[in-house]
Amino acid sequence: MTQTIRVNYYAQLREALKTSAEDVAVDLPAREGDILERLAQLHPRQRDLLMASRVAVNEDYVDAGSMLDGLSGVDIISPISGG
Amino acid sequence: MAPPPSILSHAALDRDALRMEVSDPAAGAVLVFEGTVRDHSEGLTGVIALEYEAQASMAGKIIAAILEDTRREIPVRKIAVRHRLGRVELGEPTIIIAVSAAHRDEAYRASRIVIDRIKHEAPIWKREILLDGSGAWSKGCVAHGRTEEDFKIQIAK
Repeated sequence: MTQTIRVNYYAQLREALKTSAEDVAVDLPAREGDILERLAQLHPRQRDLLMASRVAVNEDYVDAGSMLDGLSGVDIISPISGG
Repeated sequence: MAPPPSILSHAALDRDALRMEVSDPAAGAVLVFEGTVRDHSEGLTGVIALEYEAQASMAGKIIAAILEDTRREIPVRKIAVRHRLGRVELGEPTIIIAVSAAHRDEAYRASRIVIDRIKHEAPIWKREILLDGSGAWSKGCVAHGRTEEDFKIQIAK
């Protein structure tokens, strides 16, 4: 089922996409990779950065193999560099 | 009781206060690790500052969970961590980890686990600022939020 979810971006992705959030229609259930692929199709110039990113739901990283459903939003966590 | 201080801070980090936070009469070792802003990184020289950004709520939760795991795995007395956000000038601390333990070995091990896991898991990003005012986002950690096991798999590839 196609559902519109809120996608939040940070740091280099937020700058590259010139937005901190957008609403995106995705087919659910979906795996992490499916969501990233959908975003990469929307933003082909940022494909490498998006495909190197992690998806977080409710502030937890999702497992790559998990089927995600009933989502209202996700955080896209591009490669981190804290410490 | 006062609420616990926030792990992420836009204000300069107070090393002495963090050291005091882990004071414990049963501790025979106190270790304070400080990560600082250096003037270079891979392929880049003349760095004068770093600018940190985080998904702060998630980063705070992840770091708190890392501390809880570490306390469970290693018999330390106390651990305290602060991580900077915003602009941090050359030489200033970006992160401080204070650990007290009965013996030095536990303190060293716990400190190492905490800094490594924060770098691999906490959604925090830094931009390196050069003298001319330009900046570049750091390429980021290769492990990037994955578990240690995933990390090993990624290295093996």
